[in-house]
Formats: sequence, C-alpha cells, structure tokens
Amino acid sequence: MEDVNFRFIAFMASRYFLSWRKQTVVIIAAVTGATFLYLLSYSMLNGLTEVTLSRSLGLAVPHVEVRINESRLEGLTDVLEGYSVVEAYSPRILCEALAVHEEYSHGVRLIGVYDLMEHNTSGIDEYIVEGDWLIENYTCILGVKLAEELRVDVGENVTVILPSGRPWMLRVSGIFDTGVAELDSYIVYVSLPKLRDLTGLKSLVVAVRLRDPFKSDSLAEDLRSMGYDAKPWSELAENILQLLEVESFYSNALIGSILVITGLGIVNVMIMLTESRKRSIGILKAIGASSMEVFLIYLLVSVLWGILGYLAGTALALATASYLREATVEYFSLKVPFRFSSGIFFSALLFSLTISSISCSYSAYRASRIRPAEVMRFE
Amino acid sequence: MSSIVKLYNVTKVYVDGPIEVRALKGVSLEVKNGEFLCIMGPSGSGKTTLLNIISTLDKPTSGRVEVCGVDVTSIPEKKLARFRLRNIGIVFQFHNLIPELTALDNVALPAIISGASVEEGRRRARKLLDMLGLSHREKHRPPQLSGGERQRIAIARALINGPKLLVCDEPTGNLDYKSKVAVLDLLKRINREHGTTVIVVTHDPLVAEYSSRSLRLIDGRIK
Repeated sequence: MEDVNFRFIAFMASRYFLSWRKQTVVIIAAVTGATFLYLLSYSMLNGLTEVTLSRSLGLAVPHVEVRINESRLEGLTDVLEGYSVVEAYSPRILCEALAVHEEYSHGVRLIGVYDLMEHNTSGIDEYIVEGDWLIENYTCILGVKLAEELRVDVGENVTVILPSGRPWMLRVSGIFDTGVAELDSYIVYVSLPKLRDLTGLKSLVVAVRLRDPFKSDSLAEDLRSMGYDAKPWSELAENILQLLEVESFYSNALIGSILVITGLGIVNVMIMLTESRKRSIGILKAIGASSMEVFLIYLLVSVLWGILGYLAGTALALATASYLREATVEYFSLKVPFRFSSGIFFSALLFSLTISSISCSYSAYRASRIRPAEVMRFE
Repeated sequence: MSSIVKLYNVTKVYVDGPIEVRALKGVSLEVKNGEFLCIMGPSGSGKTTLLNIISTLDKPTSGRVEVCGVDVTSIPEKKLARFRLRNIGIVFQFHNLIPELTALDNVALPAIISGASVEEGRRRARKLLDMLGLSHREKHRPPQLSGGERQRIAIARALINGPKLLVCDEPTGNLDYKSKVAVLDLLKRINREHGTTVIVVTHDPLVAEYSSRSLRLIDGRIK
C-alpha cells in the first residue's frame, strides 16, 4: 500500500478546483444539466404514477370488483361486512347505450347505482363541477366531455336509447370532471332500480372500496375461494400498470442516455486536461507524491464537481418544478404534478457522483501512471 | 568522508520498437557527502539519464545505485516517491513549478506532502523565500515570475525538507548571465553553509567554476 497523505490531497484538489475554471464550469454545467433532467424525469414519473393510480383506483377502477347475479348480492354483502378492510361497496348495473340531445348523439355506458352507496365507494360526487349528485328515476349525472359533445347542460334533458331500442328521457342533474378521459367522455350515472326495470338485467358488478388498496389481492383471493368472480385492481387496471411500466422504461432509457452522453463529454474534457497537465503531474510525483495520491487528487476534484453539479441541478429542478406546478402540466388530460422524495434526491446524488467520478476515474488513473522522468525532459 | 551516492557499472538502454538507444554504458561513480559535483557533457551524452537515475526518477537497465546508503534499485516503485521526499531535492531543467500554485505554495508543497500542515509548510516556505530575497513574490504564480526567479523558487522547493542531496538538471539552462550567477551563488551557498551535497549536470562551463569537482560524460561514459 502506498503512503497517502489526505491533507496534501485535499490541499492540491482545492487548488486544482479553483484553478481549472473552464473545466470546472463545463463539467459542473454538464452534471447540473444531467441532474436537472434526472430529477425532473423521475419526479414527473412519480407524479404521473400517483395521479394515474389515485384517479383510477376507486374511481375508474374499483379496488376489488365482484361480478355476481342479483340473487347472490345479499350473501356477498354479508361476506363483505365481515371484512374490516372493506370500507364501502356499491352494486352497479352496466349497460351500453346511445345518448341523444337535440341533433347530437354519443355512445355511452350507463352505470346504474344507488347514489349513497356509490358516493361512499367511488367518491365520484366529489368531482361534480355543475349541479348536484342527485340520482333518481329520471335524472342522471354525466361527464364534462360527454356534456360538451352532446351540448347539454344541467337541467336539460337527454334521451338514452337502450339496447332494446327503448328510449329513456333523463334530466341532467349534475356534471362531473374527473380529469380521466375514459370517465368524462363516456359514463352516465343513472338509478340502478330504474335501469334494472327498463333492461331486465340481473347481473351486477359490485365495486368494493378498501381502507388499504394494497390488500385487494388477498380479499379477491378469499372471495374467489368462496366461489365469487372477484378481481383485484392489479388485474382490472392491467393496462394502466403496463402503461406506467412503459413510461418507466422510457424514463430509464432517457436517464441512461443522459448518463452516457454526459459521461463521455466529461471523459473528453478530463483527457484533454490530463494531457495538458502531464508535466505538472510529473513534478508532483518527482517531489514525492505517490501514484495513489495523484489518483485521489483527481478523483476528489471530480467528486467536488459532482456535488456542486448535484446541488445546482437540484436547485434548478426544484425551481422549475415550483414554477411549473403553479402552471401545471397537461398530459393526456391529466394534470401531472412533480413529486420529489428523499429517495429521488439520494439517487440523484449517486447519479451525479457516478457521472463525475466514473468519467474522471480513467483520467485520474492515467495521471497516476505518469512517469516523471518521461514527461519532464523537454520544454 | 562517507559517500552519499554510489553507482556500480550502471547501464541504461531505451528500447523503442526495433531501436535500442544505449544512454549509459557502464557508469561507475562515487559522490562524497558535501561535494559540489558538476557533470558536464554535450547534448545527448546521457547527463539527464544519469541524473534521473541518481534522483531515483528512473531505474537503470543494469548495475546498482546507492543513495544515502540505500540500494535504490531494490526499492519498489511505490516506495521511491517517499524516499525522494525525505532524501533528495530535485531542480529540473525547465524550472518546473506547478502553475496552479503561488510561489509560496510551490515551495511549501514537499513539506505538506511529508505531513506538515499547510500553515507550517507555508511558514517554512516563507522563511526560505525570505532567505532567497523572494518574499515579495510569494503570492505570484509561475507565469508572473522571471526565469531566474522561477529557478530560485524551484531550488527553495527542493530545499524545504532539508535534503541531504540536491540534484540539478541544467539549472542555468535558460537564464541570462545575471540570473545564472544568482542561481549558482545560491547553490554554492547551500552547499557550503548547510553541507548539502549538490550534483549539477550541465553543458554550461560557468557551473564548473562553482563546483568542487567536475566530470565529463561523453557518449554514455564518464571520461
């Protein structure tokens, strides 16, 4: 093991750091940019995941869904009442139909619900932007985009053409805006008993809301073992989870590319720097510095660059996120916030240090291998 | 008087592909403690190679080298840097100062490497610069100094750890006459007042006038 004097290493690294101004600016700028993109990408991905799941789970996708014939509903409710994790449940009848208002028409999905049970289960009433959550035999609630398509407003009537061809006139009592396009442009909430009477449908879908959505798999498993056709949200929202996985893959690919491109830029700057400082390194070694000390001096400078780049990149990302959060970001009609966490900041620090130190290690190694006798013979 | 440097039949061959250059062809040499030795010779005679071997910056192809009573050819490369730090002061041909450091920090550097605090190193460096009449230049960086000043600062740096041996490669190479005399006066003073052994390789005949012994190196052999 070679002798290593850390005081000397810190002294030289600080002098190099202060003297290599151009390289310092270039490399810190590169690490700042990379850290900024890293933090922004992952905080957006976090925000997208959070928004997608929070908007979808319980609202578009129930925590657990049980498909059942009306005759077994009572038995199922008894079972559900026995689980403390079950917060609420809402029986629904689903039916495709055509909604017509004046000369405008649109395909819709009717969801027959009991208004109080649906309020407790999906909380859709929290998204009412016009009118009230009021479902009676001849009233309905529909999404804001569908209302726009049909040019209908609260208090006006729409006619729903059922699969049998039977018309059903409904007064719009409320309009909701969830931000989830699938709901806002397609769903019409109506009275369950009336829809059942008009269609004769006996098959129900019971949406179950849990206190802890992550216990949906075990509840669904229990219900299946009792003979119910139950599905947890992880199966129901498979396409959403796949979308998030794809999003995550592209984010990782983007970050990987940033890492490689930034790293190569830094390697290039460092190689040029080391080449131009061969004589200086030769002097250090000739007057007594060990190869390990030379290596560590260069590495320490790169760590300082990494830390400053991280701090600057983090400040820039937070400032940008703070500014854009007010303006909000529209993404597939979702408002995606930036969600930072200690994990992201820690991984960004590792990311910054990895870029700077790995990129500089090669040059530091080359510097440490320089033989003074070879580099100091000529002017 | 005991010897500080002993070379036994030292050869050095540089190999560059099919080309072999025999820089030193069996050099044997003994330098006594406190000597001021001048090794002269024309360009390409092997002077710098010989000095690099004495100062442990390079290893001979064959032969044995003893410096301060230690067979340096047997010391592993990793340990040689610290051996140089403790025993040898080196002044290079082109007054190699570190451009990122001030004159004061350039001088203090070997002291800091050897374990002194930055403050202690600077205190010792300031004393040396004062002795050399360069106190007013301590905050200047190498490009702001004249050739003579840079060379004297390089000498101060070589002296800061109180080495037993000072080796100088063409220390007056690029200097005007006035600066040459100032540098040689300084080397003579160090040799006389501190008893430091000085070995200078040069092709400048003026250096020989300051030395206690002169040797000629011609075509890799001492004549």
